[in-house]
Amino acid sequence: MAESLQGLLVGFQVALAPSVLVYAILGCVIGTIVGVLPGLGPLAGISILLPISFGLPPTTAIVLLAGIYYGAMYGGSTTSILVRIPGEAASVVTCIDGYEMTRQGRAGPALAIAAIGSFVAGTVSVVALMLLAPPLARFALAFGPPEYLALLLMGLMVLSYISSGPMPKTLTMATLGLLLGMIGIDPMSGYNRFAGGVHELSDGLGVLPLAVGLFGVSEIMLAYRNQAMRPASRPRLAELMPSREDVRRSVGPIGRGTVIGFLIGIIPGSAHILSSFVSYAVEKRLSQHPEQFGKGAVEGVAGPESANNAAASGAFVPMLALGVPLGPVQAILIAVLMVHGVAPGPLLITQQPQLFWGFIASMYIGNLVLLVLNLPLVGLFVTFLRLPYSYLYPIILVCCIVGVYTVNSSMVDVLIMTAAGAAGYMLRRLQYDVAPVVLGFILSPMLEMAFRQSLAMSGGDYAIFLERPIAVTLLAIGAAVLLLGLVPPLWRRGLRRSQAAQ
Amino acid sequence: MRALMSGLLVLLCVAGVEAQAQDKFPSRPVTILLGYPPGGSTDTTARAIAPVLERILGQPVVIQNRPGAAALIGTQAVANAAPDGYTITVATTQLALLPAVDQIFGRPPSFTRDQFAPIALLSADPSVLFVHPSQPWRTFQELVDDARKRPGQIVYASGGLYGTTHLAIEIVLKATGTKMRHLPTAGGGPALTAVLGNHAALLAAHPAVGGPQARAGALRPLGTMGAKRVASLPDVPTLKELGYDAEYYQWNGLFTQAKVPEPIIAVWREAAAKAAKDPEFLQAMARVGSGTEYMDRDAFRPWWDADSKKTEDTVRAIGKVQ
Repeated sequence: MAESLQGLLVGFQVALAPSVLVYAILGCVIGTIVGVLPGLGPLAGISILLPISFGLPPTTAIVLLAGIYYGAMYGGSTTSILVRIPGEAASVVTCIDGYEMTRQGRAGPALAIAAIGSFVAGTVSVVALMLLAPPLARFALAFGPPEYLALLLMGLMVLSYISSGPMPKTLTMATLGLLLGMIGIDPMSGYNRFAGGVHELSDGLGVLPLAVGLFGVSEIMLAYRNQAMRPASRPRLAELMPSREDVRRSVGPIGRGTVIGFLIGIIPGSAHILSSFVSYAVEKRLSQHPEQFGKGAVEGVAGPESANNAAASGAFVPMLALGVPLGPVQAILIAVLMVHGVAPGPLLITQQPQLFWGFIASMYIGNLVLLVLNLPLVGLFVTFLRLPYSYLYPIILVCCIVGVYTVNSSMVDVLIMTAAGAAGYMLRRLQYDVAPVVLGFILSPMLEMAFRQSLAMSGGDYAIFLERPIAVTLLAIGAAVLLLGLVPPLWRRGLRRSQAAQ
Repeated sequence: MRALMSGLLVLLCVAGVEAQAQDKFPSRPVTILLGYPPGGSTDTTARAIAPVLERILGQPVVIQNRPGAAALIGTQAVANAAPDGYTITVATTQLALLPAVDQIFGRPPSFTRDQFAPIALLSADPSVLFVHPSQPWRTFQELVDDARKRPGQIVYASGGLYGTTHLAIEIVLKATGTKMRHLPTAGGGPALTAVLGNHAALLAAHPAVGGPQARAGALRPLGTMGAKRVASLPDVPTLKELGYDAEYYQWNGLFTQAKVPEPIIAVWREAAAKAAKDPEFLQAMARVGSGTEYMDRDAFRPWWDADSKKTEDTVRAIGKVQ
């Protein structure tokens, strides 16, 4: 503990040096812009700016790129809330209740709660990262394919909470998502599935073009057709900040979202996208008025937005403590360290204390910068909504196309977005909810890979799922939750029967 | 009149520049187009040499990443670029690998190896075999003996089907006459994580990836696949020393299109020869832990042909998986 404080002191000396501080702030600003631009996520932002960072000293380079990363996680919620377009993949859930709040003229409180939740989650996670990185990293390594599969199966259960529509429609949409997720090269056999010879499709459809199309483009088309779909009242500037009631209802979700997000963020793979979905499901399950979810519940913004920021910090644990990249963003950051001659590995913290503690301190500063940057911006963003729709919607569409195109410089991605927009429009006209499509799409490749990897490890023996303690525990918890979920309907049916008998 | 005169002067100047430009290559910025994303080894090699080439050629050298479909999209773009010498690439085994994979799936190849002309080899690092420290094998021979005793039981991880980390182990298995189980993952990082977490017993990795883990005791190196030992791991024997013919390198070379005229290729060869000896390039490569290994076109071509043959043979031996 004393050692950590001493280290942190060194870290702040590093991070508060003007030359580093400037880049921390710059990273946060660029990250916010990247996050706000629909389609352009943290990975694309970092890849684009990577070459610039090669000319900087290693600590400064990492501080800049990490700033872009969590800045983008912060900014990703903005367009989700304002115009129902996810700024990055982890903000898809925020579209649901965040945009409903906007339609009720409460865009200000939604944005403010998202910023506050992100700040709290970011700061608490850095404390956890600082104090617990080495033991947590060893825990993360215990997650192999069987454990991952068990975790993802629990993720499937989240599906039922993500939509407020009838269950058959929700499951239909989830299945559609699972099927769409199978397009592309099968990593276990090398077959190119359902790609029709289009090379660009061999990496899959891409979650961002799909989500931006299903949520955002479809929304613009619906609102064009139907005036009643548009945000009901223009937001009043006086109601920018959340009410005391909003804050009271958000405290629990922010706390739980932080813990859930951080733990999921540590786990290898791309599970961090799921953190916001899991948080949403948990809040809906715990809420005393679950019927408000999907209709502008502030908990549905506070929880997921905290979770995805905590997950962003959690993902640094294995990178800093062990030198292993668990996600594509961390892989790039590790490459940056290597370009500067810093060998990333288990000895990083002891051999490069300045870098480690400077990085930690810059995350504290970054979170504060983002809060200071984002809260005043709430007013500006809300003002943006006051533009007449005939101007606003074309601008948004252009931003969507530019954002989605920039990620891979690929016209195919723009076409996917357009097709997803048309499909989303049809589905929503038919009263189907599109959120389960996105969740199914995210889960499907991960589920399949983890399942087949497990069987590759065991030589086809299914016992592998029961022989490993973490996997079997997770599966048991999942089974228990599933059975408990069945109890209330059965009990209610029994109650009705007994009432009918009387 | 004066305006006319100065206008004429300007025209003359422009024409002069134009004429000069046609004489000398390059007269405009050149592009290094990469099939891999930023941060990978082809990318860091390109970024190490680009500023040096810029200095030598006197023209800006722009790096463009076009990743996707296991480098197929970017590599195909290089193959199809105008053969004027203004688009070059830093490439590796993918030039032989991707057409070979297309072949076993019965697809028409997206490009062929003979569309490319080598300029120079820039770096080559032998693959190193690392195992989890809790595994019982202290030496490579112990691993081989155990694998012979229980064929198909030991699990190895790779960064992906038909990738360099997959082929390296398959070459070892062929040389030792053993069989193991393959756990493909989504890249070099996940493969490393799988072995660090002991979900797989071993992997073949670049010395700069596994080396720091080995120095911290998180991995145990058993053998290297080069002709001579790796400088950063001096105690680790080569498989050749142990009597196994299993050489495999992770290398990066400069290439352009086969149709580029010979005089322009000569400019590139000369520039690459100078750049490969430049201290700025050598330092940048040392920082990322890449072993520089320069070969001019004439020496590189037979080396590349031999490496490509090994790649194609191994891919064919693996064949379709299930």
